[in-house]
This record gives sequence, structure tokens and C-alpha cells, in this order.
Amino acid sequence: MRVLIVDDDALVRAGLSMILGGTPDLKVVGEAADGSEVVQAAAACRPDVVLMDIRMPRLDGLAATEALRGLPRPPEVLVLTTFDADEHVLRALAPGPAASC
Amino acid sequence: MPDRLPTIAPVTSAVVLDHPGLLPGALDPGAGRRSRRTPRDWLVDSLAFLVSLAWVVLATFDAASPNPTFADRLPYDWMIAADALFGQLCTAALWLRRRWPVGVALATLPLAMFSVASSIALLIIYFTVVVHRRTAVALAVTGAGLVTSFFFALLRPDPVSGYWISTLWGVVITLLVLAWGMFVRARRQLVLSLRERAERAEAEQQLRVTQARQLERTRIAREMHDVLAHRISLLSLHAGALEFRPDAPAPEVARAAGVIRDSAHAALQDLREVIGVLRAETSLPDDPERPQPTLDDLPALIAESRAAGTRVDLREQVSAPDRLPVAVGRSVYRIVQEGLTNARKHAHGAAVTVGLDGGPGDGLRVEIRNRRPVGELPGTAIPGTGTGLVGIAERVSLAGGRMEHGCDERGDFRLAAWLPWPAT
Repeated sequence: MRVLIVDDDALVRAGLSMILGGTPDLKVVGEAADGSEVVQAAAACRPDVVLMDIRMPRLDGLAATEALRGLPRPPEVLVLTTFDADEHVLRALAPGPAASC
Repeated sequence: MPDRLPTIAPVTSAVVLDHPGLLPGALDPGAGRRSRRTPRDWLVDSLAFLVSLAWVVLATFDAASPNPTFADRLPYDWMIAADALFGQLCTAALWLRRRWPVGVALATLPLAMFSVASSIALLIIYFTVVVHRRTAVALAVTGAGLVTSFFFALLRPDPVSGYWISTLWGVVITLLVLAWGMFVRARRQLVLSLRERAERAEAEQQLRVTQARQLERTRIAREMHDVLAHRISLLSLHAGALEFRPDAPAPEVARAAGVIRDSAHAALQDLREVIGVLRAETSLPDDPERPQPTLDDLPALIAESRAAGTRVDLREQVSAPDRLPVAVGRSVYRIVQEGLTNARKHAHGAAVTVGLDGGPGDGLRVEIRNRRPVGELPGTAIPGTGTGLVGIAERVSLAGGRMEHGCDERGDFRLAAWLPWPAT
């Protein structure tokens, strides 16, 4: 399974890569540091799953998720957030990511 | 971090007077309801007294002369003496006119029908009524005064002009004093209303500043919380990576461990700053280096209170106090602290009983009771309590407990709280 990691913090991306790197059937195919880079990165590396942070400086994870949904064969999106604010989660679910954690 | 907080300049009063003594007592902002004379009032009253006294002397000499100018010669000499006496009494009454304007005016009103010597004093008293009393009262006194004009012209006929001309003069002088007095009154009311508006604006401004500070602190605290949450999630993420990937290459393990160390270090730094903001909120002169108190610190607190002169009786029946959760112990300490402070403030000298009982699973009850000090009536509200108790109530409710305070049937003040204490 091909995974794209989207997070503005390089340390988070590194940590996630390290965790996922130990699983044989998962492959981190790309990283993006902002929501605005997501569509391009998704087109380039065609991931099955996108791990998406919500808070990012230019385009946030929710808007990026909506943008991904517009692609011909959209990847599944897993929204990651440290903030358990309900309105974020609900808004995250509205455009239809596969899960939020 | 505290240097990021907005600072406010010390607020000065809207009313800054260079010479408060030049104001009439009615406008003196420092005066209570029964205001004392300002230096300006003393000056005015002394002048009024002297002018009125001079008039009494002048009018008496005139009345005693063979051909008086103010009114026809009185038939008997004792009448001249009586008029002079009335004049002096009214002049003396001028000193009372600020305190009882209407009373003095009504008491002296009959003199307006016949006394020449009192006339200046009477006009001054009348002026005081117009300036210091409601318009309705002023107009009623005016009406009575106008009626006396008709009698005065009859009883003390003018040597030159006739009855109606003389009456008209009385009416005109009365109305002139009325107009002048009402003008002075309107001006003073305007000044008072402007001052009140200025003070209200100042109070509102202060409130806005306080709210702004509060908002800013909340915002800063939220920002810090966000930053802290991010650091801790980083910490958790990399610890998780180490846990899942024991086989990871050495450089990656070292990097993850480095992130963990840095994050933990930065998180501690953030925490310190959060505490700084929270502590700046309370004006308590808390020693920042002092660790948070626990139940064990209670005897020291009570000893402190005793040293300050409060008789404190501690009755403790707590089973397994060493198993008390630290947070509950801290709350108990704060409750007792507040109770003792209140007792010291509002019932100085009264004996205070501090009761503590409970155990695991049962909860912890704390009660602070103080006798009302001798000489104070039971049932009177204790002034000033409330703000400290609000904080305690907040603390207790956050801990999931209950609190009550107030006076019992014996008139003792009682502050009682129950805090949950889980059995495990």
C-alpha cells in the first residue's frame, strides 16, 4: 500500500515514516509539507492512502482533502490531528476522508 | 512571558480638582450626603452673615430716625426694638440654612409680612431653598413669599410709593431671587451630571481594560496549550516509532531519541511559561519558588494563623490521610486558608474551629466555623466576603465536590465543603 504523508513539521513526517517503514506492506511514496502541495504530490506518486495533518500554514488539511476528492481516482485520506476540537473533526468528516484519528 | 502581557497605566480619577475648597459643598466630590462646609462655603456664609447684620443695624437706625426711608415710622419704640431682634435672629439663623433650608424658611416666613430688618436674611434663606431643594418645593415657598408681599406693603407702607407699587417691588425682588437661584441650581446639576458621566466613562474604560487583559491571557494560554500539545504529540510519535521499530538503523534511533529529548525539554519550558501566565492572573503574592501545598502543610498554616492572633481549634478525623490524593489535599489547604483569612478579616478575635473528617471512598469533609464577634448583630451581612469564596467554589466544583457557606441559626459563620476521595 502506497502512503503519502502530509505534515508541515518535518519531525512529524520523519516519525511517521519511521513507524510505517517497519511494516512490509506499507511504502511511504512521498511527503508534502503543505496542503497546497498535496494534489501535485498525489498526482506524482499516486498513493492509496494520504496521512493528512489538519493545521498547515498555507492550505489546511481539510481544504486539501476536498481538493483530493476532486481527483479522478482519489486516494483514501486519514486525517491526523492533536486537537480534539469537535468542529475540526466534523468538518474533516464532511468532505469524506476515510477516517480521522 | 509576563512581559508580553498588556500593561496598564495607573488609572487616575476623572475628577482632579486643583482647588476643591473653591467648590460649594454640594459639588465637593469628597463630601458625603451631609456635607461639611468647604472653605468657600465658610466665606460665603460669613459674608452673608455680615451683610445681613449690617442691614439690621442700618434698618434699625433708619427706623429709629424721625423720618425713616424704608418704611413709615412705627407707632411704638418697642416695635423698632422687636424688629431689630427679629433681624438678628434671622441673621443668626443663616448659619442653619444649609442644613434645614425649608425648615428655616418656613419658620422665618411670617416675619416677611412686617420685618424690615430681617429682609436681607430672609432673601438669603429663600435663595438657599431655591438652590438646594426641588423645584416644586422652591415654587411652594415662592408662592408663600409672594403672598407675604401683599401684607408687607400693607403693614409697613412705603413713605413714597403707594400700596401697589410697593407690593410690585416685593414681587419683583422675590422673582429675581427665584430666577438667580434656579440658574445656580441648574448649573450645579449640569456640573454634577457631567462629572457622573466622566466617572462612568472611566469605570467602563477600566472594565474594558480588565476584559482585554483577561482575553489576552486566555489567548496566550491557548497558544501555549497548542504549542505544548504539538510538542507532546511529537514526543509520543517518536517514542512510538522507537517502540515499533526496535530494528531501525542506529542513526534513525538516535534521531528519534534526540527529538524526544528536545521535545520534552521544550515542553517543560512551555509549561513554565503557562504557569507564569496563570500565576500573573492572581494578585496573590505567592512565592513562585514555593511548592504547592498539601494536607501535610495544614498544621503549619494553622500555626501561622495562631501566631497572627486567631484562636484556631483543629479537629481532624481523617482515616488514611497518607492515601489522600494530592489535588484533594491542596484543595483542602486552600479552603482552610480562605476560611481562616475570612475569619481574620471579618470576625477578628473570634475562635475558629476547623473540622476535617472522612476517608477513602467516603470523601473528605472540611468545615470552618467561627463565632460571630461579640457586639455584632446576628444576621447582618458580612461585607467583603465573596471574591475569595468564588474562587474556592470554583475549585471545589472543578474537583467534583460541593460547598456551602453562610450563617447558621446560631449566627456562626460556616464554610463547609465536601470533596470526593475515591476508594482506590
